Amino acid sequence: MIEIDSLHKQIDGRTIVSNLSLSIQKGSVFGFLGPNGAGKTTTMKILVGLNHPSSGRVTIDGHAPSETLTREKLGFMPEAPYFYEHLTGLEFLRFCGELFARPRGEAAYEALLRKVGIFEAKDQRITTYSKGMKQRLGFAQALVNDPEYVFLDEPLDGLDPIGRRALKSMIRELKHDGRTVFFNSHILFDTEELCDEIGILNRGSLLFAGPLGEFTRGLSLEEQFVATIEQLEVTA
Amino acid sequence: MKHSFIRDTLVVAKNTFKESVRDKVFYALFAFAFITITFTLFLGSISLSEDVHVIRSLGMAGIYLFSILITVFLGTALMYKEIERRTLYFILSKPVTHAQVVVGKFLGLFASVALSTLGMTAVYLATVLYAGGGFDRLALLAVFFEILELGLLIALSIFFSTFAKPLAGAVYAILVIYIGHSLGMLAAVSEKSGVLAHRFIQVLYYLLPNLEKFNIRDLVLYNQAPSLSATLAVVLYAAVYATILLCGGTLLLKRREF
Amino acid sequence: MPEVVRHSSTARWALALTLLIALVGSQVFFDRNAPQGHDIPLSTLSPDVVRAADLGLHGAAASLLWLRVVQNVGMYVLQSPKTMSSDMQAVVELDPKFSYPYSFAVLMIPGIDRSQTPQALAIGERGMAENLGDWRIPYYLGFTYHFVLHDPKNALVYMTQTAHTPGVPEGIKVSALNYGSQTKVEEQTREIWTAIRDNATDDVTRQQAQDNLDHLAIIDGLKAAVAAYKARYGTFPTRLDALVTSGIIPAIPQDPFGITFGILHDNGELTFSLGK
Repeated sequence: MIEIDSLHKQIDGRTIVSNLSLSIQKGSVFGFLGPNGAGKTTTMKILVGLNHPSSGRVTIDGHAPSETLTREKLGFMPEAPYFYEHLTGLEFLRFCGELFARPRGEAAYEALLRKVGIFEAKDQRITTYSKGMKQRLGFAQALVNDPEYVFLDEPLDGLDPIGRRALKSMIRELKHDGRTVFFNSHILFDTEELCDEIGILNRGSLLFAGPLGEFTRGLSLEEQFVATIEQLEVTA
Repeated sequence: MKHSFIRDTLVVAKNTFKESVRDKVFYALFAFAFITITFTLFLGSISLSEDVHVIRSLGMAGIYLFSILITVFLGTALMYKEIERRTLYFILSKPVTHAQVVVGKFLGLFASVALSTLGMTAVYLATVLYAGGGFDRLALLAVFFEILELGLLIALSIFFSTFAKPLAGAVYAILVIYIGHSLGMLAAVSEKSGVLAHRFIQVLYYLLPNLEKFNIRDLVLYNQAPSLSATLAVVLYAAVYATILLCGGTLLLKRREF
Repeated sequence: MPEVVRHSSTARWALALTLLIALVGSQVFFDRNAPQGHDIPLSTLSPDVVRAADLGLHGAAASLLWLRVVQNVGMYVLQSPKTMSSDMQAVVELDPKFSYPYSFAVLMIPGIDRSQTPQALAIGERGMAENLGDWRIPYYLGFTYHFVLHDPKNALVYMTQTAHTPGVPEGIKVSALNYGSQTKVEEQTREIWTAIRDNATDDVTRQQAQDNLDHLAIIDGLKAAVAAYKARYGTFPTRLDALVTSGIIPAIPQDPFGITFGILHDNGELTFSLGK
């Protein structure tokens, strides 16, 4: 279970996230939605141990992500990832895999590359990859340890329609395998089909958290989202 | 399999090594070094039959200058690239500590810099042999000392690159290299200055890396070698200094917001 | 449309050519108007400055300076004979254990500028103090005392030291031990130059020794010719040309140092002057 308890994050005196509390059940797909700059990425960085809370607590199965062992069962795909240019796709995946206590071995890496659809390019340097291929490699490295919790930062960003469809089906497959998926997105129209639950973040504050249907109440996610944000801007 | 500090560090090191030896800068500098070292053959031939002397002094200097360049170029960009290009996100979100990242980066770059230095040394040894100077065993000792210095400089570059941009980091590194080679002179100047300045320079003298400790080229040029105790003291000095810098780098990296 | 493209490509070529010509032209123009030759003395950096800036690579810095000096021996002669001693001084200060510069300075500097002899001797003395075991330093010092300063006493001291330097070549050792046994100074000089020539490891030194030997041989030849003239005509010639016109020698020989010889009619002594 992922638990966020009154999380506060300030960077250089600016509040990025304030008083955020959330709990996400194991095995669910959680969509963390909000406009650009809402604090989604910062929250995710704290969840995977890259940054630390200014105050409050974040735990995964009861342990802080800043503890090394907690990260053993996490997978994280950064937004618009950059890579080591001089490595090949397979070398990069192998490198990521070897950082875990139980590296899964060559066969698993190749299977993963096949699954995300860049197996043919496995021995090419990453510099030669297209944006979509890099996105797929980023996804593959997030799964390299067969993680229980998968964190994806804007996973559908920069993908063509075919890529989006492939990635969405892979996320569904993760859910099917009982993994917990936590993803950030500012694109809403085709994410609602993925989520069990959503959280909506605006200017660092949580507006809503709960089952998708509770929020949309018959409208599409995008319509309801825009209406909520606009109403907020008017009252402010 | 279990986690061990060393295994994870070596994984990072291996990755860094691969990434840096595939950098074009690495090969460009190595090619220049090759040309420079073999060019000493020509310089030797116009030196009034002091060929071997000229080739040895300029050859060892060439190895040093080029390995310094490789170190500074690759070293100061190392962490910065990881942070700026967010490749560090991949590593730090995995079960790896900041210290393992810093030490792994250090070892990986150290391996590639040492490899290039040994490559240049091979070219140098062949050049001296060709010029009739025989197998220059003592130059290997000079190169060993030099590699210790490079280790210290890599630690220094990594330390700088945890907070400075590559260009600024390179400037800091080059400044430290210059000051580090003139500390002896600085101390001599301080003898003549006032009490306050004297104390200040003394503090600098003991804190800044004294890089002349690693320079035995002029000794080796006349076929002399440092004593074993002096050698051990220098190895210890390099190890302690690099450790301090890597600890500092780890601390700075830990405190950084990504 | 293709017409326009062709035009612009021609224009581009023309522009490239014009720029190239301008580039080369400005370079040629600059060189034409640049001051001719190297008027500045070679030593512009003090050894202290070099020491502070060379990252501890003093040996390499000394080697580079040494290369610069030996490549410019001819230029020192022509343009700035005074700076050679300070340049050599810089070499030995940067790398005090580099032995050849000491002896080279002692041998070459007085030949280029006699007034710099004390500086040359000081460099040699410094080399002796470094105790480098190089026979050339005492040998050339001794020779300089003998040849330049006409001081056989000091010359003998250094010659003795030469003979006791380990590893000294046999010819040099014999020459050093024999110092003072020749009654004629010229014979002594000739013997030492011969030893220097035969043991030289580089062409500049060998040439220097050979030139001096040739010079001595020319003087001997001229003296013999003058004596023959006196014997034939009972009087000394008024001009050296008379030796040729009278058929005693085929021509006045060319001196390697460019010295023009003359003669005093009163006593037949040879005179020396530089240039024509």
